[in-house]
Amino acid sequence: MTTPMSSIALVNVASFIGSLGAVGLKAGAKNLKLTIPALATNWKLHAGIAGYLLSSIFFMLGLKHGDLSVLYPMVSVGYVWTMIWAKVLFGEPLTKAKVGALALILVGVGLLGLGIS
Amino acid sequence: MSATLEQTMPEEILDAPAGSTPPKSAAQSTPEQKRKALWMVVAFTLLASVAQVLYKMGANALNKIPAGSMVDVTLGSAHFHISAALVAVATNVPMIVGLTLYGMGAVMMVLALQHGELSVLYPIISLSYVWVAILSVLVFHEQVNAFRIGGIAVIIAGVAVLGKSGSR
Repeated sequence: MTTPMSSIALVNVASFIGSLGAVGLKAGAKNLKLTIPALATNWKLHAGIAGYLLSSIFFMLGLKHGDLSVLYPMVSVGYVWTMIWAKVLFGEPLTKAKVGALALILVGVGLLGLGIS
Repeated sequence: MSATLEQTMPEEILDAPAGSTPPKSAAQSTPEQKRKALWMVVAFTLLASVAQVLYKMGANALNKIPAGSMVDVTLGSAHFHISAALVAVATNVPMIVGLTLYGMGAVMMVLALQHGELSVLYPIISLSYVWVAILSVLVFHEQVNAFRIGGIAVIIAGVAVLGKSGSR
């Protein structure tokens, strides 16, 4: 089974939007107040949730066609994006430990993907 | 364990760009709160993985319904002629429980993000791949192979490294 470029593109768009969703959740969680009016007006949180919903639609469209063992590992590219946003937008330090851990996770998800076929 | 963690701390400061200050919320969080945030994400991945398996079970049941078929539903004196798939989704217990678990997981994730760094917590979501791989074997009797075992081990190693850097 071959994986169409359109599926690869859709899954990558999904993981990119998902990483922006995570940024929204983090920004919304910063000043989180657990009262109904505060939650209703926490637009950063809403944007984060909307990002996740949008991302899952792209995932479903992408996973419709193509080889799961190819598409599955691509989802984890979103972790790389998120680490970049965390550094650029929230000033979180990019340590050797974090980069090394991320590399291990990418390798691990790739191996799991190979195990599917 | 905490002694070795503290020794590696200066590295983080060196890697930070000159003049930058750590985010306020992370600086105010205690190590106790950070550890709690890590475990909440782990719990989130467990909930999300069980939800995914339930979702798949529910979807398998839905596949048996012919596309475009309609059913008649009577609620009191009102009669409806609606899509059979819609009725099947609304009465699909695994799917509803799965969605509820997803919702609970999302709340936990937001609470966790209050006290932890995004760059540490987000990649921990990869643990859900591990749980799904294990559940696929247990529930759907998918095959176990060397790639799967190796993948699980390497992901867990990566998450352990993140957990170490995130709990200080």
